[in-house]
Amino acid sequence: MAGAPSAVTDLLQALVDGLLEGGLLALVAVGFTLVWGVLNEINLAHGALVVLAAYLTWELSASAGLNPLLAGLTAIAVVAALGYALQRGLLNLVARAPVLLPLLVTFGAGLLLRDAMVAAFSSDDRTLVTAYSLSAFRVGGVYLPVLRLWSLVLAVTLTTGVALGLRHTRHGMAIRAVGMDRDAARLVGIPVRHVYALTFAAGAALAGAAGAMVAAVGTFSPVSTDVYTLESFVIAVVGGIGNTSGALAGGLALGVLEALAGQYLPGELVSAIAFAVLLLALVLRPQGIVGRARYSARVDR
Amino acid sequence: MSLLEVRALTTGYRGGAVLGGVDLDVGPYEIVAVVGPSGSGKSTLLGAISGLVPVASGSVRLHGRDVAGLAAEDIMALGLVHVPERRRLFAGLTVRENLLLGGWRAGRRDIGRVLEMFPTLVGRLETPSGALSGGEQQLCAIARGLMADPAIMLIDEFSLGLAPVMAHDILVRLADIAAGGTSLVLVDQDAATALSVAERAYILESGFIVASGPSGKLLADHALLDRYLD
Repeated sequence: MAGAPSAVTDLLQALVDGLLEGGLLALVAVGFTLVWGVLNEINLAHGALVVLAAYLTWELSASAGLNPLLAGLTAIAVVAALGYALQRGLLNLVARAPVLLPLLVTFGAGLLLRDAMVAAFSSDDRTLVTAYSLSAFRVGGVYLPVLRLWSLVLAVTLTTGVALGLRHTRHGMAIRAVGMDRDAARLVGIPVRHVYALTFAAGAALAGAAGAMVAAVGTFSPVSTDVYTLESFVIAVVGGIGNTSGALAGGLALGVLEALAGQYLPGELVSAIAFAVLLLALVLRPQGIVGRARYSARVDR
Repeated sequence: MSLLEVRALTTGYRGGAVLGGVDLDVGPYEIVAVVGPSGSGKSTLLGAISGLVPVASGSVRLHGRDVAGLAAEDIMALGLVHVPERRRLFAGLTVRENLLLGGWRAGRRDIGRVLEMFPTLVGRLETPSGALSGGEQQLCAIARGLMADPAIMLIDEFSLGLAPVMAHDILVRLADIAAGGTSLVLVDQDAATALSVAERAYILESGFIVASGPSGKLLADHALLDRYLD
């Protein structure tokens, strides 16, 4: 009988851990799904941008002594600028090509970034230790790390902000228009090449925000790039391609599933959870868990 | 001086010429029709003028400036709006959002002026444009184009799929638009409809202008119409 409360607490702890980890995953994925939905580009360099931001945050904070928040914001700005340049200078050249070509370009860019990070920072795991790294509080028997809670808050805030920005701002409307019909957008005077680069930069900035949080709450190395890209892919499909609130829901769902699997399944099965979720989503609800893809409709279809 | 002056315009897809050297002029306040059988190159001509279709050779002068080779968004910013075939509205966006996008480049957000011209749209502002009827979509597409307050508007297949009453209603509005200072180039497969409102017309056949002149004169030439029009 004494084991019953412990089992409940373990379950609650797994759920909370899953939600908090899911928040971080959502933050990682929201930029990926934005770029995929609007530009129809599967950005295989996304994970590398996340890890690059984590390294920049770490270097600026741990090595250069910058305040971690300022370090994170600087990393976001640098990664966003890199994203803009990558789209404007390279990916725009293949924007009208079949999807495989941009895919290969981002794959190459991701490999280049990953190898550059190995050369510059080595492949050792790193963690950014701050004064509040170990801050936590307990609710009942459940342990809540403060930084992970902040990453969830940041994920919800940024996801909501992106959705509102797309809906209510001048550039948000232009991004949605370009995602629906590129040529029609050009005919109303939208500078499509700039908007493409701006969208990719926004996706990169979100990757940067995720990277800054990754540096603060977890360990990272260049090897992490593939994991973040894969998880972003799964979450984008599960949430509905281009759907930012779907990415939040998908991230939280994946986080909870992985945490529960970690609690109750043999360790070797946990890493297969993301693939299982992807396959299930493709079979049962290919349009994603939050309605249909936002950018698929067009008048003349 | 012509508002729009096209000279020896050639273009084509993947090496095959679609336009074989087209000359065309449009003056201020003028309505000009381009008619011809299906596949004659009418839509390609409009696309080449507006920057959607690459120009192989020749010139497209707008306000005296050669715009051939400029990006479509830059040509639009110079005062030329293209309402393409099948309207190409942003289906997932509301009518209001589509109209606002029409004024996006110029920073115009006041939709009152175009709603006065197209009162049908007033009650449909929050409706996704993909849910509009064909006639309403055409009105919305023209209204979206007018949001930019263009000097010239190219309208492709404006009567396609519309009931005759709706097509006539749009023709009346087009005449008002031209009288208000926006020149129009109308492309339509229904030659009689286009010629009924245009002052001058060009007949395009296999990428070449085979006849041009005042609409009334072309309409009276039954042999010409029988030879070149469906």
